Amino acid sequence: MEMDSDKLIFRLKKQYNAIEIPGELNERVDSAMNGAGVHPGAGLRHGRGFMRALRGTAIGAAALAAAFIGVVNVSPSAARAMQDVPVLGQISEFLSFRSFDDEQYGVEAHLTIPEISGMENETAQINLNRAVNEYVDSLIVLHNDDVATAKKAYIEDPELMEESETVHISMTNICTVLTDNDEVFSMRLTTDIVMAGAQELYKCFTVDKRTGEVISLGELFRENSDYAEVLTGIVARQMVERAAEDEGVCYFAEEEGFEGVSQVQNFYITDAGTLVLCFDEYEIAPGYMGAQTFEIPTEEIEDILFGGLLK
Amino acid sequence: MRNDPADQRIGNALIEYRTNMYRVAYSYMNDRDDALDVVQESCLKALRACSTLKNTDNVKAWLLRITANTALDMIKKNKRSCPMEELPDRGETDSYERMELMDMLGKLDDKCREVMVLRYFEDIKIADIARQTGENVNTIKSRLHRAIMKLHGEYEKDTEAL
Repeated sequence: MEMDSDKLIFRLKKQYNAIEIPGELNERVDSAMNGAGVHPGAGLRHGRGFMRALRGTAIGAAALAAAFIGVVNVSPSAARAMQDVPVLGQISEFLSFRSFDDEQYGVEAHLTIPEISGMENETAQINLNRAVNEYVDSLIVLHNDDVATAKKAYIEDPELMEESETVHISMTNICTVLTDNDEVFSMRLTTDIVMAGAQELYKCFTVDKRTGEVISLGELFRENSDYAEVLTGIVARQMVERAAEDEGVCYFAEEEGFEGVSQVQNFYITDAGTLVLCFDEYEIAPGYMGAQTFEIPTEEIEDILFGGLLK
Repeated sequence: MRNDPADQRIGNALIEYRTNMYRVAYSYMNDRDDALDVVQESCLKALRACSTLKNTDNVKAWLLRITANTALDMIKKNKRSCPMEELPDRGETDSYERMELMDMLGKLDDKCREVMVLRYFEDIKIADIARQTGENVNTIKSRLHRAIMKLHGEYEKDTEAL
């Protein structure tokens, strides 16, 4: 009986997690945040000069959107993000946003691209913005591929064109600042891709404000250290612990899921200087578990640390 | 510019947990548009109620409880204007499986349903649920137990009927 209930709950939970997320959700959350008393122009009253720079740059034609990368836009989501700093976490720097909006053949992309300015270490700022742009460019390539595929399908079957108002694929992203202190700036771009199902892609960026370098995981550790293996061991152990603690927790078995921590693993550093490893949805666990993060206790890796960012 | 830390926390949480809010809302409303309305209304409520969020509160639990309550309110309102049973079947893409979930949840009373969704589907700790509902941990545990017994009983009935 106990077992049967477990199975039943597990099955219901799977169904629950299969509830499709409509593309409109982001818009509705945005509009609620806008409606909560923060109005356009609030920034100006507080002397935020950059609001002025945004005036009159509204962009219309979607077909030309690709050409506008690099232009500051006043799309509702970008404007929201600028007025409503709460969504960005505690930051000392200025964040402004460019946006990429394109909609063709039922494929749409609405990307908000953060641009950091006012960081004391200018090299850090340049490097960070460059890394973000390279990543966003790769998303745009993905989007363009999807558009090309959809276009081809329409050419082959013109009847599809009549239904072209139906969005088949939509891509949106959101920026969250995770840590911002004297030494470290970590942020995450979350990209939602909605097709038949929904998937979230995460990309974290961390810049060492002392050196100005955007850091990769390996740079936190001594050269020639076996950091990937050490981290793999810690993550594997935490997975077992979590699964033992809560029967609802489930990870893919090793051969099909967790293949170990890689050199390009997503990570960020907390304000306290702790390393957090991030895995995408579906990467190591069934969809209902969502994206997974693992905090790595610094004392377990102190033998191989390098650079002093981790505490 | 609002720089209140509680506000910032809620702003971040709305971004982070919006899909969770939607699923909670959907699990009550069983309708896409209604669920979107519930999420939007819940966001507004959360932003307005930011002073009630304490530092030690689990923000996800806090937010999802607001969502569940907003959904219940909306159901009550809808009932007054139009009984649920008489609503036209929208005949969307609901699979058989989805119907099982909605069917099962519909058999639970409001309190059991809430703990079921928060604990089992959204992985909120019992202690955090207790904190948000202002009840003690044992009350929540027994409510969960009751929910499971009920579901199990319904499941048996269904399979026998087949």
